[in-house]
Amino acid sequence: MSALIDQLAPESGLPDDSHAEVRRRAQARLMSQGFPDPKTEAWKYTSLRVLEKREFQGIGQQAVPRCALPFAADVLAFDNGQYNPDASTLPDGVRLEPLDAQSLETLDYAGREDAFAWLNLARFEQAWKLSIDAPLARPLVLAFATSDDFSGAVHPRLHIELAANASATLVEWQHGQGEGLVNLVEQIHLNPNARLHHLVQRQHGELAWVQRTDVSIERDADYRFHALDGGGRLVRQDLRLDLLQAGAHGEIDGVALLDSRQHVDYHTAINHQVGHTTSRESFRMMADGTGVGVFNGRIYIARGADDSHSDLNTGNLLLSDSARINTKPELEIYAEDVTASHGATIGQLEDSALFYLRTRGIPTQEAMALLKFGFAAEPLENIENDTLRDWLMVLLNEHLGSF
Amino acid sequence: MSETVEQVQNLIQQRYKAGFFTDIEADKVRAGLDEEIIAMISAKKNEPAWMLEWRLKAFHHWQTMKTPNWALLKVPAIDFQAIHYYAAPKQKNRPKSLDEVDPKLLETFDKLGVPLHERARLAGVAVDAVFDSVSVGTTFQKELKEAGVIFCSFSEAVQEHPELVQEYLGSVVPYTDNYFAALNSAVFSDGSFVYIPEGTRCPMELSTYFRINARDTGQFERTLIIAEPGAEVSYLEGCTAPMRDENQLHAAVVELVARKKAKIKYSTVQNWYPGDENGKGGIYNFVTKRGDCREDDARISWTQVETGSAITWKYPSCILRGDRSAGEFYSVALTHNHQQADTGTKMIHLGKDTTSKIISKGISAGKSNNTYRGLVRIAKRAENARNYTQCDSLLIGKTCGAHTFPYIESANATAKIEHEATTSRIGEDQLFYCRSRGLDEEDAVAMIVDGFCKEVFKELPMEFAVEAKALLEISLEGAVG
Amino acid sequence: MNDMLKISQLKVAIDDKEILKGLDLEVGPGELHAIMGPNGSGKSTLGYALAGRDGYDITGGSIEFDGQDLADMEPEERAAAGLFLAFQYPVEIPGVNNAYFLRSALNAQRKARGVEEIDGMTFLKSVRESLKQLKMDEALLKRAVNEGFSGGEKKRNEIVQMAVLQPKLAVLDETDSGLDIDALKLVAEGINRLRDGKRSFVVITHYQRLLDYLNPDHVHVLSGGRIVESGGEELARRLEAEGYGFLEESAA
Repeated sequence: MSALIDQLAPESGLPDDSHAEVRRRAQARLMSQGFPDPKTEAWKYTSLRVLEKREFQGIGQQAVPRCALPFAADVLAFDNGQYNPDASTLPDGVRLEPLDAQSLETLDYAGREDAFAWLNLARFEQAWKLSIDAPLARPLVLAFATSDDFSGAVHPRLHIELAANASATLVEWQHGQGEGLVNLVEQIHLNPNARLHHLVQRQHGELAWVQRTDVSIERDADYRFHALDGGGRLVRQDLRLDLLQAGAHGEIDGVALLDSRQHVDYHTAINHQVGHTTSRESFRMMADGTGVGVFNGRIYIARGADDSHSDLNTGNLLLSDSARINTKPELEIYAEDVTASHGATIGQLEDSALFYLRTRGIPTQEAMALLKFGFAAEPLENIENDTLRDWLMVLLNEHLGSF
Repeated sequence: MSETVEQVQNLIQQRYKAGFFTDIEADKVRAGLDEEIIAMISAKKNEPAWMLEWRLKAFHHWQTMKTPNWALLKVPAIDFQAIHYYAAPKQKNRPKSLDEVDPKLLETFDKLGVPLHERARLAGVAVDAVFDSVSVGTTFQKELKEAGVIFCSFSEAVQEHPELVQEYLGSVVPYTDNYFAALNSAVFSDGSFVYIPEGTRCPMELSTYFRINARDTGQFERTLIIAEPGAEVSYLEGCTAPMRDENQLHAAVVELVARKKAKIKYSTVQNWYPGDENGKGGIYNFVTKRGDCREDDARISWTQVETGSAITWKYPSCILRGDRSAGEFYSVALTHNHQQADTGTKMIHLGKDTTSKIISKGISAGKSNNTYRGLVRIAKRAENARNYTQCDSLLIGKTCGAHTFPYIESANATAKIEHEATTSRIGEDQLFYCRSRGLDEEDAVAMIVDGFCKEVFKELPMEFAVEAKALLEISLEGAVG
Repeated sequence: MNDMLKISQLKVAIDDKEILKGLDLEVGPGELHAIMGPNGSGKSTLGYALAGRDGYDITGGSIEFDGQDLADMEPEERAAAGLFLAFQYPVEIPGVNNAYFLRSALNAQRKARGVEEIDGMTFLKSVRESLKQLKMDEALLKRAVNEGFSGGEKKRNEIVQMAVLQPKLAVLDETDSGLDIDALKLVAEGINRLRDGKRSFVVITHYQRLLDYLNPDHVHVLSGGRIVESGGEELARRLEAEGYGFLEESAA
């Protein structure tokens, strides 16, 4: 594991900028606790061996791919982890500014399981504050792309704040090439009555992608996360929703499609810190080839958070004998007047459904694709915006066609 | 307000009916744990050299281990040097039959509802009674012998059937398995041994009753059940301890071996002293129970009703090695006051067409925390494995916690796993409905809880089902209002 | 004229257990045959064997459909050839939209027959028409296949599918079971609408009541894996009146 420290967090080389103090503190924490190992509960099923074997060098010279989307949007481009103003447009009501040192000083993370968050805090190249002050008319796209010759380790950091009553649709378009590491930290805050639809469309090649998204939600604010994840060599997504005040609502809908040489690990946590809060989560994973899928979905209801309600369901399809699925839905409940439930399944395509489709004349391959689509599409049905839902449905269909 | 508190306290005082102490002179080794103590225990039992050697190996391994901390439990530091690892009621000579057993001991078991003497003993149930570190007697020895069944204390088995003990001891739970299993392997004092020969259906239920009596002692019993091909046995286990302010440690190991087409049904009603309403005293219950469906078509079923202990750490598990072997786990765990339970099961599917079923019902009241922790693992070669899991938690009161941590791992594309879990409070409409029909609140709660647990209770042998239901009612007294 | 369906000495086994033990049946074009029989006589096995379900092994005899031997044909090939099975228990397929499913099925069949795919408007018109005739809510089109449908809705949905797919031979496996009298009439009307003198039907049922609306050309009694008696409509009425008890007498 010290190899990883040497690679990613050498003692020397901390930028000496206005954040130097924060960086030193984060580096010290990282050094004292180290990176996760197989005994670290939150990393039980995800090994960092892929990273250990990599040599991180430059961020590359080649051009990064640009997103082509079937809907009108404003795009903020992050090329190889760096904001590129030339490829970006900022609509009215949105501000992008360097993050002030103060916002970072009080940040705290846990132990070894949060090593990448500490790493980001010690090493981020740029830290941006994205402020959304009013309802946005059209989607705002964060385009994260890396070039074919990208072999660096970058640590982008983005704090997003929605003002009271603001609303936005944020689309993260993530297409990573090359063999480096992107270690992204996002911190999202919804002020009272704000509304954020957060879509992630991810498709990485050999890239390793570690992302932590912490969302805090105030009174009557509404946060919805939707992911269509085509995976990558190593993808780890931590997603944490803190329902901080009454009326706060959070939803997570996700689909991850895995094929050979892909490892995707979702750790989601929905924390009902106070009562009168609601949440739901629906997640589907499909693993073919030698793909490995990990899903850990936690629902936490704090002491006294009465009248909180949450439901989580996760379904998994194991399509090949070399694929693996590890799933762990968790309930941790300290309040009485609540309803909380989860369901999890691991299985295959239903023979009876396949036969039914075939008796109606649909050829086997097509019938299988249709069943996979039906299985995977369910969480995406929850996307309210027709255009965006159709966009992801089409992508899902294309993906399954080649699956 | 204070009146209510008092009432509740009275109820709690009453509720632990097994809390009395038997004043009997005990033969206790000094407190502490070292090689000398282990040698003393082994010598007292007149054990062969290989047994002592095994104990010492386990001890040395234990010294390299750390206490597990992954469970959702607050476990105060245990001073392993302050515990007496062996305590036995003083007896002049080893009693040859139950008639020679100290009447005080017989009386104790009478009071606990487990009469041992011939006139009163339970019909159709053979009982091995373990008092602190030793077995005081086993009923129906003769009848069992005729059927070829061996049912005796572990110490006796070491003397009489050393070849069986040597072959199977540690074959399901090796001493390296975990911290408490290693400790048990080093210092275990007694327990039960069961051997059912090929093709034999055990003619009666077998049962062991564990009683901790002496102060500052730990109980470390070991149970080994071997079912040869085609054999069948149903085994019951009950446990109680006096009410004391100090915590006492219980670290048992149970190993089950089911060979081809054998069936073992293992039921537990665990009612160790849970501590008082302030969380003082009570048993720390760290138990390793595991069954090995070693050959094809074997079947192991665990049923547990856990109402006692200050801390419960227990995961009766099944290794489904043989093709078409089946594992079941039915559990009711009730925690009240300051009790903490982290309990569940592991179903390890290795063979083809293996099936497992998990039904877990957790009830939390008072300031307690109740956790289900389970693992379902489907190995790559476990074609067509099936698991179904249902975990329900019921919350009574605003200061308790109910938690569910299922680990589900599949490496086979033909396996099917289904897991469902719910957590909710006792339904107000249900309560109201019962009360509008004339039931008082406590009866209504007891009735609803009984219904909630029905699926598990029906798995218990009749005598135990009645006891379990009564135990639940007593344990819930004062939980509402 | 060639038979639409010619079953000769058909033997079908499930897990090595023989269920159909030499069944003969000939259905001409435009004919409606009813197959009745007690539980466990092999009625559903016949339906599944015709549709080609895995695990229903043909161990003897033959099935000829519209001049083709069915034995080596996949279920979808049988469907494309014009064979339709209405399931006794229609399968729920979560996440797959009903309209999308039906259109995919229709186009797959058309493609297999070398016919141009149907355009969206024409398709929707035809489905809506069928839904209306069976008094089904159009909203069902947007729901997943059979998911959350009542028992009666599932059965009527099978008839809608049949009307849209326009098979040459429809095998209806206990489509009448669990239906109230109004739904039963709708289903019967749905079947009768498709009777055009060319299309053939095999109606598997336990009761006579559906047959009252269908006027079958032939009624067969299936028992112990064989057709043990054949006749006209009067046979169905006799079965209704006397039950299946007489079978044992005649067998004895």
